Amino acid sequence: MKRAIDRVDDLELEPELREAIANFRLNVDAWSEAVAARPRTLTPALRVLSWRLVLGAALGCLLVVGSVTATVAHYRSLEQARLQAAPRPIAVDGRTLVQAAPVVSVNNEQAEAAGRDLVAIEDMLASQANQDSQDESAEGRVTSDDQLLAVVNKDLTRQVPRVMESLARLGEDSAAE
Amino acid sequence: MLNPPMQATEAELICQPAQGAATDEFSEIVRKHRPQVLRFLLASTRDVDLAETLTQDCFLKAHRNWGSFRGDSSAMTWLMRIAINLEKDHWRSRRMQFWRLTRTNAVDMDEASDWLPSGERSAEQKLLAREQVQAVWRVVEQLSARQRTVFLLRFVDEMELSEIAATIGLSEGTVKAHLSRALSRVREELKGKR
Repeated sequence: MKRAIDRVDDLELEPELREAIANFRLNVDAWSEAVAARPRTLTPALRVLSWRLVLGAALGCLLVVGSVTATVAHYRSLEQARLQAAPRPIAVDGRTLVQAAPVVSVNNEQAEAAGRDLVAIEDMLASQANQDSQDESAEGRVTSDDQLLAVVNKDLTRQVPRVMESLARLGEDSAAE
Repeated sequence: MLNPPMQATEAELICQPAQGAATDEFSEIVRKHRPQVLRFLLASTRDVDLAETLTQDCFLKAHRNWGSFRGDSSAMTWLMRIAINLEKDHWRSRRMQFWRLTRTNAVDMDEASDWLPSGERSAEQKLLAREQVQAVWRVVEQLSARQRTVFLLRFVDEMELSEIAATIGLSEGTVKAHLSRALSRVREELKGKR
């Protein structure tokens, strides 16, 4: 170690080593001078930078718009289904009935079908109520057990199939007697 | 990546915010020492863009701290210390960012060896010089970071051993030892080449 330090301290380099190091220094000098003198432009780097920025911004906007649209559409469909399945007051013969909301998750088509069924049920109940009130007004007050039974038979026979009409008539006849 | 023009107006660009005599003094420092700093960083990294960026950062940092420079050492020593620290920081941050693409712009040794003044040499002398330069580049690449720094400061920037010792914060004896080992490697490489 001591000898090595002494040699460097004296800087006694053999001719070939000295020449090699001198050439190396000339090489680095020439290269750095060429680097210092070269023309430099900012345009390519800026173009790449702006292109990347624009692409990133566009993709970001697309992602935001897409997610917002999907969220709004989802909530809108949920709201529509909720409104269609919500309990609604039904006026039947002066009374107010409330149709309970089914506690099930439904999609749009199911909700529409359920709405249609509900309207049909309301119509049926309303027409039944009208019919009952007409019957009551026509027949007057029921005063005896026989009359009450006849009325019940008559009501039953209204919903009897066609093939059993003869039996229904028999019931009507007995009521008339 | 962004390399603003540094040639004619570098000193003015860096010194723009400051005023007065201190600005003139620092402008003179930039004009005088920029080639040396760039040469050292270019030889150390073999990456033109990186060397220019680090040189620019070096003078920017020096300008910011110019007020606190007490003049205990020479301006060149101070600037070189900043440059060496910046280079260290750069490689350290590159190691931390291992997930990034590890593309480097370092020039191939053969390409680096092409830069030789033509002068009045014969073709044979040029070929010999090129081979010698390639051999030195090979050794420089294989040296440890500290040995490379010492070797380049001594033989590229031609700094005195005491200046090198002050720059990298080692004793003169240690600097000599590093230099000796580096020279032995160059010597071996040249012998192996023959």
